[in-house]
Amino acid sequence: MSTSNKIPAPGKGGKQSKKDFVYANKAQTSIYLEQACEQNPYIASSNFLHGYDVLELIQKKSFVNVLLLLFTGELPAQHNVQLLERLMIALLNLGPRHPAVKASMVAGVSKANVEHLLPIGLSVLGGAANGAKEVEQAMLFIQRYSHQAVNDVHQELGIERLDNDHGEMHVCPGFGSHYGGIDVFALKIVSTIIADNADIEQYKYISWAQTFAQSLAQYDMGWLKTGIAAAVFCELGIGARESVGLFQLICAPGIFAHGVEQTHKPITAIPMLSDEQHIYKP
Amino acid sequence: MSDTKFWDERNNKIFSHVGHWQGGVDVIIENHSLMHELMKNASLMQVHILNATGKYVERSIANWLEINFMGLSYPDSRIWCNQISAYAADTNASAVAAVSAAILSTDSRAYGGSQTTFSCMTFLATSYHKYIHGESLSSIISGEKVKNGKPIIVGFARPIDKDDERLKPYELMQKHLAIEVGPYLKFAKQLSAYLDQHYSLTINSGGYASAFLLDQGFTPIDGYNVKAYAVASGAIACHRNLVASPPNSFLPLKCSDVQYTGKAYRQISS
Repeated sequence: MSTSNKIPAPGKGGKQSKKDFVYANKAQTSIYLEQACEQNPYIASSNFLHGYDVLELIQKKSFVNVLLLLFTGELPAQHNVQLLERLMIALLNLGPRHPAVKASMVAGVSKANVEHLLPIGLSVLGGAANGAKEVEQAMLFIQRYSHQAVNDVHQELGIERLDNDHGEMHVCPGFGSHYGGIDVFALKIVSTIIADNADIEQYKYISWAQTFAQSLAQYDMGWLKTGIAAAVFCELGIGARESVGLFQLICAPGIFAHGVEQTHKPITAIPMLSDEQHIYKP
Repeated sequence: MSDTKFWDERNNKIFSHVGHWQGGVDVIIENHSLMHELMKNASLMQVHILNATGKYVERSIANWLEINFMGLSYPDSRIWCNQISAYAADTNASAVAAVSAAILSTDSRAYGGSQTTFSCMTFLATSYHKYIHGESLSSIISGEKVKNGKPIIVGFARPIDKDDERLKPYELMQKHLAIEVGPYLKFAKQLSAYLDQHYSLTINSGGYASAFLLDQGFTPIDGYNVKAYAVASGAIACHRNLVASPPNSFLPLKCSDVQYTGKAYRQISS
């Protein structure tokens, strides 16, 4: 099947066929092989992840090693394992003020079924502003511009100081202002993630993104957490589309922990605003 | 020091332009009283459209969209969103979880309601504008992507190989409700005839509904919002069909039913 932008000249197709979609007889995957036991074709006796015996992986590899194997198809180099592990700790808990975490907390306190808390938070985390979709877009942004000097990027994108009258401004996916200023903690995360790596140049995407973020400081803007995730994922060879779910996965523990904490509290434990605090202006 | 005025104004305050609940008194939706006006006079679909778009449409328009919703929600577990709902039933997840998952799955560029409506309305709005300014149908579709030698136009193909059974009831109901066929629907039908002649593609439910919505003055975003949960009903049915069954009873697969195309066995190097 081919997709192109070139449309063929109109023919006299008539009604000879409406079978534009031919469905496969079987689902396919290159990730996982389940080998059936002899007695029952529905029960697997051996499982292989990208060719590696899962039982062997359990014995010999860390979770982060296998996570990278799952998404890249290959066991990673040790410095990449360390890089992802540090990112995972950094994003393990986005904190009780992130919309995804707040959503899970509100669901928890309002007695939603516990099993719904994580999907609720992760749906909110799917968005293009401080969410997983922004990570994907930030990866594409970094990959596209990382070969250019940051000044040229400023010029091309027309980046300039913007006032805060309209709220948070993400000038590019993954970069911008956070509540009207630089996300200071995000800055510290980047420094910590790449700390004790004598040669930051080995991380070409992080290195470029760091320079780009520093160039935004004059406008009171810089790294956003989504940008950090994107830069790290670029280094690790994660696909842009794959980054969406990986970001959600990494942020999941904090979302659930905060949500389930609230289930133990009365429904009154989170403020319900008064009529006066809900201002209706049609 | 950062300027935080924007956030200070919103700290512990919600600003709404859509509505307001005054506990014990009334609810206002887009300046309409729910207790005194809408509950007496409006249908559920009218109120849904009001919430989704801010537009309070005639009851006949809402009635036609109800028919459209019926056409988007079949109780058949082969359809992707319903299959997901059935998988949720297979794990004994709740009906609400099943429907939520089914609705999420239809936020899809291939089928469903919301995204396809948005895409088709955007295409039809742009194409109609070109058409009335003299561009030919052939030229209009020449800008679209192609797959298997046919233009990819959302609303003018269907990912199964049968004619669309919903078109006739749509037309009949539109006539029955005395809703005039507007310029977008006329254009969509012309386009369908052209595509049928040259590429064996015809208008489907999404194409018809998108043209209808444009004729009623809705924007593509309105269309997306109106259709947000259109598949819910059939998804609930498919959950109900399976939820009492034992685990792993819905579409069970043998190990060999999934074709492995990846790397052969390899050992972990030390």
